[in-house]
Amino acid sequence: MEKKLINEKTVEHLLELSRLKIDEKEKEKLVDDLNEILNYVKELEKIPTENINLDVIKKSKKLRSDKSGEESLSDWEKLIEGFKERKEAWLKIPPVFDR
Amino acid sequence: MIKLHELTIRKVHELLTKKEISSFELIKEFLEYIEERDKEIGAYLRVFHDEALKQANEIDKKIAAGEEIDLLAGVPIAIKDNILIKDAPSTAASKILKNYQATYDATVIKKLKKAGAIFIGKTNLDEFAMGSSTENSAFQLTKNPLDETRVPGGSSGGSASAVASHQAVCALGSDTGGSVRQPAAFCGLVGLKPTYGAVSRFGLIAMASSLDQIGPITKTVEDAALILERIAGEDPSDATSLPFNFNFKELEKITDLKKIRIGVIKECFEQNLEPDLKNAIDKSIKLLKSLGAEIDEVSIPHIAASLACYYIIMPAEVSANLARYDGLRYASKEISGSLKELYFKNRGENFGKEVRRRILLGTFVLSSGYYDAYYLKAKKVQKLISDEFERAFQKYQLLLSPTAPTSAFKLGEKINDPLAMYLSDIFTVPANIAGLPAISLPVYENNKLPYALQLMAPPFKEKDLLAASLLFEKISAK
Repeated sequence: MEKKLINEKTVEHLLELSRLKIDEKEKEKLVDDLNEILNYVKELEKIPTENINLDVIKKSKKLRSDKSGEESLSDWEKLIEGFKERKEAWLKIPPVFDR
Repeated sequence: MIKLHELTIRKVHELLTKKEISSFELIKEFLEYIEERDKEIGAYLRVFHDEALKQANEIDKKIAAGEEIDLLAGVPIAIKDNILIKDAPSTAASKILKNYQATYDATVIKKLKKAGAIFIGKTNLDEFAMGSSTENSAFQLTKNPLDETRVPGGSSGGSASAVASHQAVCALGSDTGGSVRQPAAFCGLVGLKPTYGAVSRFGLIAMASSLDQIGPITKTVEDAALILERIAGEDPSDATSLPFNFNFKELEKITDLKKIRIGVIKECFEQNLEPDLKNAIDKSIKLLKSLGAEIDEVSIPHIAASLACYYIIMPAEVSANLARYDGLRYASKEISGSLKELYFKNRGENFGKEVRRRILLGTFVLSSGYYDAYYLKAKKVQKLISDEFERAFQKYQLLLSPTAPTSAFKLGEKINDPLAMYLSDIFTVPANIAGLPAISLPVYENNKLPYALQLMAPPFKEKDLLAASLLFEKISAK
């Protein structure tokens, strides 16, 4: 019998955190599917990894300087074109905090 | 009359430069064929009728003016719908991007445009490239042209079925855990996943950024190599891209596989493979030996753990990457209620089942109290597996395995069993986990559907990978 690593309550919490919702009738299958996947990936705990050091970065890459490129702002009008409500370059969104 | 199914990049080039057909006529013929054929197959989400003909006219003008044209010029290429083409919709087969128009070209598109390739349409995929059968598309089903009751593979199933049904000469896909190689395998085509960092990801809609890589799906190894030659290279817009040049000409110098050692990965043959697949691989090994390669078994002890690593690392990155779909950006149409209500409404109603499953998994494995047990553990095992590959490559230039454990499965067969679906990527995922280049090549046995052989090489050794593939293709066609 597989271990139940995640229950309905945890799934509800994860849905809240990730701003997702699902149909009530999908929930049971979702919990089962997630448990099956987590039991599969949990097999990794049997592999010894004490000697693995993740701090060593082999190839370090020189990053570009923090300056904007030529193209960076030329298309800003295009970028906000798809925005539903706006006034000039101001984008209208619902209030972040409830009053 | 041009036979569309016989066309490769070089053949198109010859037809155009010898003026046997104009680019305009050729593209028109493709468009007419697509109009009929794609009703059955469902490879394309969108066909660029006018734009493609306009591009073709430009090529014709160049030819008429006696200008030298690139090999790719005038070649109709299908593009997976998670790669951005400026001013065209790019949906990644998700409802959440239904109204989105790309505002810039992906770097690969810019490079192909410069070469004169003609973008004939955008192809179907599993939503955000999450899946192995293309059945997770929010918009349509794609059938395997070799057997229309079967899946084309995924997630680049539209690209593979477009090429396999001759609705394009070649295509681009993206490969995070096998999404170029597995559909290529299921459709009897060549699929190449370049080294992580060899091709810019700028303009590829991100799924798991540390694993994603764009690659070609083609009828021949030469076509895959010619596309790689044009799309590879460092890009200031992708900080993970690295200086890498691939020169097709170098391949032509290699005429045999003497001095090449190929390791057959023992662990990939320990599970019960279909006898026909086993036979097909054995035959391929004999062919490679006849080319002079030295072949024996090699062990990558923890290769089987790659898939478990993948299903932790990938969802973790998915949950972060897909946080940007907030219901405000990317041309959302409904903006009402509080900000929180808006998030729930848009994300809840517009992400499909598999996408939601992966976001939840990722959120779980990254959450406080579970991070060490899942994510950190997976990153450590990933390093362990990469080290094992590195050791194997001290002795061998190439490693060999099947691409997939089966040939194309039936539509609907695995869609309700996520883990069974995930397991169809068991042999392709290791190359992504270790960042290696890998290619899938079709092989045949009594079974009428093709199987596929996978070759892997050390990072940036695409030259060895493609040289061996070219020779293998030539000898197996005999």
